[in-house]
Amino acid sequence: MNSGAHIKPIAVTGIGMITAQGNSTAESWRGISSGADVLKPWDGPLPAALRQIKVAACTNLIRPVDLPPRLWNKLSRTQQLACISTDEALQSAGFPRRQIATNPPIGCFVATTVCGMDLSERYYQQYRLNADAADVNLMRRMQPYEVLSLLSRRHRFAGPGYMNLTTCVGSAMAIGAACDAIRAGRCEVAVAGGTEALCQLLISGFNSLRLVSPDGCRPFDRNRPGITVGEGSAMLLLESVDSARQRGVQPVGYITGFSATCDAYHITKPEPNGAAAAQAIRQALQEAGLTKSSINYINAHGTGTHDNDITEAAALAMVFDSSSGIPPVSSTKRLTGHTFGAAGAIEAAICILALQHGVLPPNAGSVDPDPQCALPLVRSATAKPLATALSCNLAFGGNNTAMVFSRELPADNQREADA
Amino acid sequence: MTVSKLAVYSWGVYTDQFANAAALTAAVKAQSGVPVSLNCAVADSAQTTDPDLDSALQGLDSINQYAFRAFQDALAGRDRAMLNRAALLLLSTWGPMDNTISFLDSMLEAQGRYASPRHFTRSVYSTVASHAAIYFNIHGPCETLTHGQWPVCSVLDRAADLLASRRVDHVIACWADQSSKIAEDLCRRGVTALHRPEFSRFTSDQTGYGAVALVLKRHQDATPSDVLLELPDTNTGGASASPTLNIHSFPTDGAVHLAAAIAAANPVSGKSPMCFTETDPRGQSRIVHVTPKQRHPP
Repeated sequence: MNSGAHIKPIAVTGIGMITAQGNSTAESWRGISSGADVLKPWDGPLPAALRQIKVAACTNLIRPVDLPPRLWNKLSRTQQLACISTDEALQSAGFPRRQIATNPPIGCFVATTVCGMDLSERYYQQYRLNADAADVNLMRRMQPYEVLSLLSRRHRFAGPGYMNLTTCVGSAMAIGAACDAIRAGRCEVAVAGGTEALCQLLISGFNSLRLVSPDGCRPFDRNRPGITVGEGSAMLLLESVDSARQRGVQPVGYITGFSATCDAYHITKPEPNGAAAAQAIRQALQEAGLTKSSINYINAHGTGTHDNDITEAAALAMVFDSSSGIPPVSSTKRLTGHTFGAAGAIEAAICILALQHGVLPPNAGSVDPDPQCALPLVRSATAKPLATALSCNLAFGGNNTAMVFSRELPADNQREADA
Repeated sequence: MTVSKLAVYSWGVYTDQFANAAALTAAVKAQSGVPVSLNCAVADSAQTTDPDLDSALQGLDSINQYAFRAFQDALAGRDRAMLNRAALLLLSTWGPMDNTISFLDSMLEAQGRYASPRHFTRSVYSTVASHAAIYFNIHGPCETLTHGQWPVCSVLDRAADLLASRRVDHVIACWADQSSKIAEDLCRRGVTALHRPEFSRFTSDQTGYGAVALVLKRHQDATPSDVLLELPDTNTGGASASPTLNIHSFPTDGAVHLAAAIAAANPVSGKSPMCFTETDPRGQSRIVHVTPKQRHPP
C-alpha cells in the first residue's frame, strides 16, 4: 500500500472551523456528518431579484472575549470569522491566544477572496451618492491583507506571513505553502486556512454568471443547477512532527502530500478532460508515497456546476482507473455552501474529521446521480474505518489543488521519528 | 536561521520609465553608482514588436498588459521549454480594482438586473495570473498573492520553498500594479481620515505602476552568468558593507528596485555585490544580498 513517503508529513494538531452548520468544529462536524440542511435566503442587503436565493450563512457569531464590541463591530465579517476559527485552532492545539516570546514563532498563511467587501460595498454605495459624506471607516478593511495583519497583531504571530487570493483553491494553497515553510525550517508551527464572508458582490457576481442555484446545489446530480454561495472559515494548526512530539501533543491527523497545477486553458471554464487536475492528484499521491488504491475517501470540490463536476469526475476517473476503482466520493458543498477562499481549508478539516471519526460525510443534495460523472457517491453518512483521504479543489482560471491526509504517521516516518 | 537562496535565470520590467530590462540596466549604468530614483508610473507608451502578444493583449486590462510585457521581456531569447516545470507567483496590491468598481456600479444600478458578468470575472485578482498562465502555457502552481509584511521578500521566500519542494524547476515571480483613479481617490480619503500609513502609496510622489518579472531557479543550479539572491529570514536593520537600496513596502516599486540591484550586480561586467532592503510600515527590515555568481564565494 505505502510506497514510501517522499516528503516529511506535517502534523495537524488543532482545527478551528465556523460554517453555516455551526460556530465550532464540533458543531460543524455534527451538521456535516448528519447531512443537515441549513440553507436559507440571506438576510443581508441584496437586490430584490436575488433575495430568494438560498445561501449557507453563519449565524449568531460569538464575539471573542478579548475583542471589545467597539473593535469587533469595526471588523469586516471575513475578519470576524477568521478570529473565531483561529481562536479555536490555537486553543485545540494547546497554544495561548496571545503568543509570548518564549513560544515558537508561529507562521500565518491565510486565503480570502473578498476580504472586507461587505463593508467596502456599503462604503461605495455611500460614495456614489455623496463622496464627501461616505463613512471612511467602512473602507478600513478593504484590502485583503487586513485579514493577515489582524491575525498577526492579535495573536502576536512572529513567523512568516502569507496572503493568498487564488479564489477557490486559495486556502488549500495556503496550507500547502505553510507545510513547505515548516519543511524549509522557516517556522516549526503555522496557522493556515481561509476565511470568506457573504456579500452582495459574491452573490450578485455568481448570479450574473448564471451559476447560482436558487434552492441549493446538487453536486454530481443529473439536474444540477449551480452553486450555493456560502461563508465560513477554517484554520489548521500545523507543526513539524518533532515539534508536536516535543510539546507532547497528539496530532489529529497528518498532511502527507500536496500539489497544485494550472489548466492554462480558459479563464472561467475548467479543461474538460481534467488532465491538469488529474496531474495534481497524481503528484500529491506521489509526495505522500501512496498508491492510488490506498486512498479511502475523496472530498471532491463538487460545486454543482455542469462544467466543474464533469471535469472533476474525468480527473478522478483518469487517476483511479478501473484497476484500482474510485474510492467513495462526496462533495460537502450543499452542507457548507461554496466558501471560495475558505473552501480548501474547510474541506481539509472535513477530511481530517472524517479520518478521526471514521465517518464518510454524505454527498448531500444529489438525488439522481449523473451517469456522465460515474462516481461512487456517498449517498448518506457511512461509518467506516478510514486511514487516508484526499481533498480536491478546482478554481477560476483553471487552478487545481490536491491534498492527501492520513490518520496515523506513515510507518516510514514513524520509524524515523523514533530513531 | 533559514536563508532563502535563489538564482536569477532572467528578468524583465515594464513601466513607463523602463520599457524593458535593457532600459533599466542602461539607467543604472548611467548613474554609475547606487540608483536611488527609480519611481515608475503608468506604462502606456512602450511598444513591442511581437504581434502575437499585441493581439493577446487586446481587450485585457492594463494590469494584465503590464504583467504580460514584463514576462515577455524576462523570457526574450530564452528557451521556453523551461516553462514545462515552472510555477507562477503573482503579487498585486489592488489587483484589477477598476473592474471591481465597474462591477459594483453595474450591481447597484437597476436593482442588480444588469450586473456585469464580464466585470465580475475580471474583478477576481487571480485572473491576471490565469491569463498569463494561458498565454505562456504554464501548467505548474499559479499562486496569486497580495501585500503582506514584506511583499518582495515574501514572494522570494515562497519561490525558494517551491523550488526546494522539487515540484518545479523554475518560478516566475511577478509584481504588478495598475493605475486606478477610483482606488487613488478612495485611499486618499482613507489616508486623510484614518491616518493609515499603508494607504500612503496613493499619496506618495513615488507611486508605482507596471510590472516586474523574475525567472528564478535553485541556487545550486546557477550558471556563471546568473545573479544570486540570498535572504536571511531575520530582521537585519539594513546593516551591510555593500551599496544598499532601501525601499518601503510598495510591491511594484520594491520589485523595480530589486531589479535595479540585479542590473547593478552585473555578472558580465563583474560589478560589485548589491543589497536590497525592504522595510515594512513598522520599520522592520529584511535584506536581500544580490551577487554575481562569478563573485560568489564557493
